[in-house]
Amino acid sequence: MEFVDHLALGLSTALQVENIFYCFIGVLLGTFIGVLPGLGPTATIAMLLPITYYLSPTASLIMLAGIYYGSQYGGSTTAILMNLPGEVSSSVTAIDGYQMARKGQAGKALAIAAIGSFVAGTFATFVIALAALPLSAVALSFGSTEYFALIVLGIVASTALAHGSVVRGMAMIVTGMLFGLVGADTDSGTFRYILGMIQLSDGLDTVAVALGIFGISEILRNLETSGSEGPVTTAKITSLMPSKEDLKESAGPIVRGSLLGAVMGVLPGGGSIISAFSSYALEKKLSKHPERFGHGAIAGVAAPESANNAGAQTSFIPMLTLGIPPNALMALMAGALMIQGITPGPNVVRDQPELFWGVIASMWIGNVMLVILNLPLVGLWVALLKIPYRMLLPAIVIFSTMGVYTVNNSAFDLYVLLLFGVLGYTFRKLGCEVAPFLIGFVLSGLLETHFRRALVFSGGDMMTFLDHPISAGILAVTALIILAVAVPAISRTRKEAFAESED
Amino acid sequence: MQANQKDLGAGLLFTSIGLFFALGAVFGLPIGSASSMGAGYFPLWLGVILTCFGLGIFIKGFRTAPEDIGTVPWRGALLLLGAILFFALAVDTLGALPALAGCCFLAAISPNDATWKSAAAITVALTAFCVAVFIYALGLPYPMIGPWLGGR
Repeated sequence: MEFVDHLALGLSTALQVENIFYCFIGVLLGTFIGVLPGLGPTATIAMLLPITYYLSPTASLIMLAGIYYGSQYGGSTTAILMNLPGEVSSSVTAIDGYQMARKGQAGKALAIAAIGSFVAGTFATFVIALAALPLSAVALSFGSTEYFALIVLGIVASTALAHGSVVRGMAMIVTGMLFGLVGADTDSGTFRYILGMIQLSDGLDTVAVALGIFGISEILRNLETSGSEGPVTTAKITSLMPSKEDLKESAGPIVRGSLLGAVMGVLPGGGSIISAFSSYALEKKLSKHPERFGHGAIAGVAAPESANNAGAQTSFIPMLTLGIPPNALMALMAGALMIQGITPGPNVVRDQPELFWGVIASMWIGNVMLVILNLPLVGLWVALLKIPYRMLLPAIVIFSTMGVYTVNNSAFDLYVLLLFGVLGYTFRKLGCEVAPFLIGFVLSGLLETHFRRALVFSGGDMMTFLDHPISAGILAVTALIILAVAVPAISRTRKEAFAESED
Repeated sequence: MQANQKDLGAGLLFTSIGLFFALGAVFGLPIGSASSMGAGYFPLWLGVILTCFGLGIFIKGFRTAPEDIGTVPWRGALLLLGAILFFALAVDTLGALPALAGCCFLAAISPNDATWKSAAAITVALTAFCVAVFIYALGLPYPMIGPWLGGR
């Protein structure tokens, strides 16, 4: 069976010593930053992008992926033990997980979270393996007209489904696109917006822009609250093993959470956060005892944990098969591939099968490592929270600075880092999420190329996008999404869904 | 002023970025036509779209509930940005060692709760770590002491 061959190829790649090592580094780092509240996976991956120059493409993607799903594990540990979600996606887990911990069931909650994540991770791995080939086959048959429509859909959906104001999100995407166009035009070679600076002829450095807009702006934001002590109330961990009844009670939520998470993860703008929220809502609706939710219901831990892990993994599908990153994190992964000279998209599965299947198989191996890392060593991770932010900050700053500088040995990139750090912080202060900026920045070259090509073939007729049935269909879906967001009733429920995450 | 500062600020920022790119395309780049686009075609229209978004958000700012931007940690922010700027200026002139140490120190005293003593300790430890990792372990070819201080 083809499917089994692919997984075998993936496993043999992922089990190479180098790749196992970087997978381990990735999940270790991921757990670390997942536990620490002030440092998210996006900023960390931006910080580590420069290091990936020294690695093989496979190893670097394996490591970065490990950071992403590792951070989901770490985030839930602190969410359960001290009501301190390390990541936004674990804030749902904190609702019931912390209540369980207060009742002395911390160990049980942690174990269920780990089991749920593991099951979901395994399931998502198979989903990716099954969906990848058909999807990339479809993508390969697409012409520029269809591709243009698909990218527009991805962009619109990613702002509509993501956190924050839709109008601001769209504006941020366009802003990112414009900055992505700086440098030589790929078609004519004309320099655009380089303002006489020859260092800009290859465009703004992705690492410097990403690290500035995410990393530096996040540090600036954290400086606002530095000096205030975080709440630390550690619950005692007693027995780790859940009882048979607990397992029976969580089986359904884990399965449903995995399914829902896997579907939501593929959607642009989704990923782990929405998956966690929606699966929690679903379990509450299905439960025979909805009143238990919020007071330590085990299903309230099992479902969102499974969902966010499944969602984290399946959000790789659009990036790896279509070349369209559904969220900022995947945009960075796409950036990591581009640094290595690989254009993310349907060609990856065809031309680099070891890379593709290796990364997928590594996710499963990484999930095994995470269970081992997290359950017995949970005390160690909790101790980490005692590190004050003022000690972490200089390390983050110096690694970012060195990282950006060593890419091209150019001080110029550091000025780019500074500029985008200030810009990113300004945007955040003005209530604009910075994630869409990065999606636009990474996608603008691709969008322009397909837009141009489609119009060359049609002789400049814009109706070409509606004359092709597939692109017309995709654009119709896009229009529906815009309409749905514009209709007050839907945008109200959307606000409610996100309001919970603001706490 | 009775207006939403966040909306006004974001509106202004988007409008100016949009205008910068749109006008830059009009005055400096070949626009071409839809069937044979010049380098300026795509950025021109994106710039126009962004300007529209910006103006819309700006106008909305007068109609929504007032909201201010909040505080900016000026002292910390300047020290932190100064740390990176110092590294950029110093690495080719003073050398990698002073650049690292200066950058670490400025970053270490930027949080409000930092003390001179703890910052100094962090600087020593972190600089030593960076020199060990980047210069010795990874073998990056930066002179420790730069030309201004008598190095090569």
